[in-house]
Amino acid sequence: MASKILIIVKKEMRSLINEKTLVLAILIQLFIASFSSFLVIGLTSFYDPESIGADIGNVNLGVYGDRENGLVKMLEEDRRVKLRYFSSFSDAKDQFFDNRIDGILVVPNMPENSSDAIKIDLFLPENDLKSTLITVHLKEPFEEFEQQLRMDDIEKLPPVAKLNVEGAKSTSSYFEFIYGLLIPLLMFTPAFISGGLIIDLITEEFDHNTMDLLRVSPITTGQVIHGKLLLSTIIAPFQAFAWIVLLTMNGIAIYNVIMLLVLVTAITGLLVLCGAILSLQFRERAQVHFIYSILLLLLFTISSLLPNSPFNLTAKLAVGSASMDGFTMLGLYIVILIPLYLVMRRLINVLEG
Amino acid sequence: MMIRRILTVAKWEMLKSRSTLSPKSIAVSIILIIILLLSSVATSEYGLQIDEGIYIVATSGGPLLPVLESDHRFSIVTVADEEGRYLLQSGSVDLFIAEDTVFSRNTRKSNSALNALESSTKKYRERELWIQSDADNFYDAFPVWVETHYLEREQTFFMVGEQERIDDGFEEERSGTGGISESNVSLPSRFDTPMRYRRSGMTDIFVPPDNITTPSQLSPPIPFESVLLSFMFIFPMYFITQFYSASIMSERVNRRCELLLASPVRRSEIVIGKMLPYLAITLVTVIGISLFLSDPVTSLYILTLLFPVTLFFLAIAFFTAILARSFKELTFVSVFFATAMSSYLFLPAMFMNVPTISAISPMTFVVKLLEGEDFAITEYLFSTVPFYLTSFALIAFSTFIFREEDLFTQKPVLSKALDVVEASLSRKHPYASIFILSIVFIPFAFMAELMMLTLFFNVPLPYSLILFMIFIALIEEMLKSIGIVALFSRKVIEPKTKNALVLAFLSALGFFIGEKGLIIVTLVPLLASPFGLIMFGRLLFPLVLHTVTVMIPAVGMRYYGVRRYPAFLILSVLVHSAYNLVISWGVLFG
Repeated sequence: MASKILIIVKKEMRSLINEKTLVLAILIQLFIASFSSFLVIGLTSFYDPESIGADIGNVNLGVYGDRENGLVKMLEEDRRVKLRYFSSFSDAKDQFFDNRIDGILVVPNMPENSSDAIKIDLFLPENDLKSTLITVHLKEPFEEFEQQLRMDDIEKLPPVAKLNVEGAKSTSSYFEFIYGLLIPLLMFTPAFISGGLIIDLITEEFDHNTMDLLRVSPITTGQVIHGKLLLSTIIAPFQAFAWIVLLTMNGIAIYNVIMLLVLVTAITGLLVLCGAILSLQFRERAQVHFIYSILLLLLFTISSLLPNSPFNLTAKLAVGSASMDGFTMLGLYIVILIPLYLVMRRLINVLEG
Repeated sequence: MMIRRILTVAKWEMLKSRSTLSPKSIAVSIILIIILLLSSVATSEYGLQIDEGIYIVATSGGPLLPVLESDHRFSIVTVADEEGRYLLQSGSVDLFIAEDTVFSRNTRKSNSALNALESSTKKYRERELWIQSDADNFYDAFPVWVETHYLEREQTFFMVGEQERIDDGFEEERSGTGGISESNVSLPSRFDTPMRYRRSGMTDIFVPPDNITTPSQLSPPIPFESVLLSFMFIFPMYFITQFYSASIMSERVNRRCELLLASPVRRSEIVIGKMLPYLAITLVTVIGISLFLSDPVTSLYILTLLFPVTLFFLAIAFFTAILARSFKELTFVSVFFATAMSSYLFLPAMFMNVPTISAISPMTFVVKLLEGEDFAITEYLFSTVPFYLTSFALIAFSTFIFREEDLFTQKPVLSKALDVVEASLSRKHPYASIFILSIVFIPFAFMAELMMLTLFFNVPLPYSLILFMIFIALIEEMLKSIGIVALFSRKVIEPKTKNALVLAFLSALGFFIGEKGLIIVTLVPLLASPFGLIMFGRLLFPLVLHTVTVMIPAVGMRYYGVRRYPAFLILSVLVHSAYNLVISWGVLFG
C-alpha cells in the first residue's frame, strides 16, 4: 500500500518538475514578497518619507506671521528645515507658485486669553511628496508646542500617563512589518498554492476520464488520491523552510523553526484536504477553484477572529513570543485534520463503489 | 453576417458554461459568500491583528498598565520588581515597566517594543484628554489647531534617495504645460474656525472637518481606503477570467472545439465570440460595483479606465489557456499573471504622491476618481494605451494559433511561444512581417519596462538605474531578435549572412519607428525623470545601435546555430547596456 502511494508521489513530482510549475510557484512567491515589501515602502512614503531617503533639507518652508511665536523659535532651533520669512502673504504665495518655496506656514499672534485656542494654517502643494515631508516633519514641533501651552494649564487638566525611558533607545523600522506580515505571508503562500494544486491533480483525472481506468489498474483510486495528497502537502514545508533560510541569511532571526514548519504542514494539510473534498464532490475544475478561493477568504477572515489564528501564531512563533495557549492552538489545528480526513475517506469509498 | 456569427458563438459559450455550473455548487458558493460577508464585517470591526501579542512586557503595575492594555501588540506578564528585572535580563520579556519607568534591552525586538509603547502612550494620553476634558477646559487640553490647505501647482520631479534635482534642464522642457489654479487662494481668517467647535456640553460629539486637526492627529493624506476599495474591482475580474480560461482549456482537452473549427465560422469570429460573454459580464460587474461606490458619471469614467484592463485580463486568460499543457500548468501560469498584474495595477497607486510613478497604472486614476479628483486625457492615454495595444496583439496572436495542430498538441510553453511567433509571421512575406512584429512588440516592451520601473523604485540610486538599464536591454533585445529565431529555427528563411543582416536591420527599424509612435501617442509624463531618459530618450539609442545589437544574435545564429542564441543574446544585452551606461554616466554620477 505505502509503496504504491510512493509511486504516485514520484510520478506527480516528475510531472511538476517537467512542466516547470515549481519554478513558477517560486516566482509567484518572489512576486508576493516584493509586492508586500513594496506596499510597506509605499505606505511608509506616506507616513515617514525620510525613511525612504527623501530629505527635508531640500525643502524650503515659507513663514508668514508672528516671528516671536514659540513655534517659530522651535523650528529655528531645529535647523534642518530651511525657513524663509515673509512680511506679506501674497509674496509668499507668488514664491510658492514659482516653486521657490514648498509650503507656507501662517503663524498667528499668541492669544491674549490663555483659554483660547490658536489656529495655524499650513499651505501645501497637492499630490506631492514634499507636502508629506513637511507634514511629517512639522508634526513633532507642533506637538511640542501644544505640550508647552498645555503646561501653562496643567492644573486644569486631568492627569494622564507619561513615559520615562531608561536605557539606550534606537528606532528600528520594518520590524513589525517583517514579523507581523511578511513572514506569515511567506509561510502560508506555499500552503495556498498546494490547496490549488491538489484540485488540479484530482479534477484532471475526472476531466480526462482516467478515474475509470484507474479502477482496473493494480493501484486503487484511494491510493492514487493519497499519493496526490501526500505530494501536495509535503512540498509546502520545504518551500517554507527555504524562505526561513533566506530570511536568516538576511539577518532576520527566526525562532521556533520546527514548530513553524509543523504549523505550516498542518495548515497545508487542512487546505489540501479541503481542496480534495471539494474536488471529489464537484469534480469540475473551474467550479472547485472558485469555491476553494471563497473558502480560503472565508477561513482567513474567520480564523482572524480567533486568538492565535494561524497568521498570528506564525508571527508569534517566529518572533519568539509564543505562549502556552499558542501551542495548544497548534495542537487543535492538527486535531481538525482528523474529521476532514474521515470525510474525504468516505468520498473516496463512494467513488470506488 | 459576421456579427451574427460572432453572436452565435457567444450564445453557445453562454449555454455551455451554464450547463457546467451545477445547482449544488451554486448553492454552496452562495452560502459561503454570505458567511464570508458576515465574517468580514466582524473582522473589519475587530481588525486583522496579525501582530497581536508579539511583544511580551513584564510589569509590576503602575500608570502605564492601562496603556499596555489598550494596545493588542502587548502581551502582559504581571511580576514583582526583582523578577521583572531578571526576566528582562534573561531575555524572556522585551520590556520591563516599574511605575512610570520603562527598562529595555538593546535588541531589535526590545527597541521595536519601546517604539510601539511610546506611540501608544501618546495615543492613549490624547484619547484620555479628549474624553476627560469638558467645555470649560477643552481648549486648555487642545490649545493648538492646524488647518491644512492643499493647493495645486506644477510639479518638479523629485526622486527617492535623490539629493538634488537631477538636472535643471528638464524643467525648462516642461515649463508652459499644465494649469496653475491660483484662483481663490487667500489668507484665511485666523480665529474663527476653532470657535465654531466649542462644545456646549459633555454629550456633544465633537467632529471637526478633516482638514482641521490637533497636532497629534495631523497626518498626510493617505488614499488607503480608496486603494482597498479599488481591490473590489479586481476580484470579480480574477474569477471571471478563471472561468473563461477553464472553459477554453476544457475544450482543448475534450477536443470539443474541433467541431467549431470545422464549421464555416472564421477563427477570428470564434475567438471574439467566445470572449464576448465574459467581457460583457465583467463590464456589467464593474458598472455595478462603481455605482455602489460612487455616482453614475464617475462610474462611466471608471468604466473607461477599466475597460482596457478587463480586455487585457481576458486576452491574457485566453492566451495562457492556449499555451498551457495541463490544468495544473494553467493554474500556475494564471496565478503568476494575476500576481504580476496586480502589482502592475496597485503598486503605482500606492505612490499617489509621486506622480511620475503613479501615472503608470489606470488604477491610480480609479482611486483618484473615488477620492473626488479628476484626470487629464493625456494621463488616460499614458496609462491605458499599453493595455489596449497589448490586448489587441494578444488576441491576434491567439487567433493565429487557434488551429487544430496547435490546440490539441502538448508542448512546453517556450516552444509553444515560438509557435505563436512563427504563426504570426507570414511565410510569403517574412521580411515585412519581421518589421511589423517589432512594432507590435513595442507596447509589451513598454509595459514590461514600466513594471521594472515600479519594481526597482525601492532600490537606492544609482543602482536602481543600472539594474533598470540592464533589464530594459534584455527585454528589448529579446523582443527584437525572437522573430529571427523563429524564422531560422523553423527554416522559413535560410540562415545566410546577408539574410541575417537584412532581418536585423528590419527588426531594428520596426522597433525604432514603433517607439517614436508610442512616445507621441502617450506624451510620456515620465520624460522628466532619469528613468524616462533611459526608456524614451531614444537619442540615446539610435537606429544604428538598435541594428548592431540585433545583428549580434542574428549573425551569431547564422554561424553557430540557433542553440547558441542565449549566449549571443547576452552579448547584445551587454553592448546595449554598456552604451546606455556610457551615455548616461553624467546623469548618474556627474
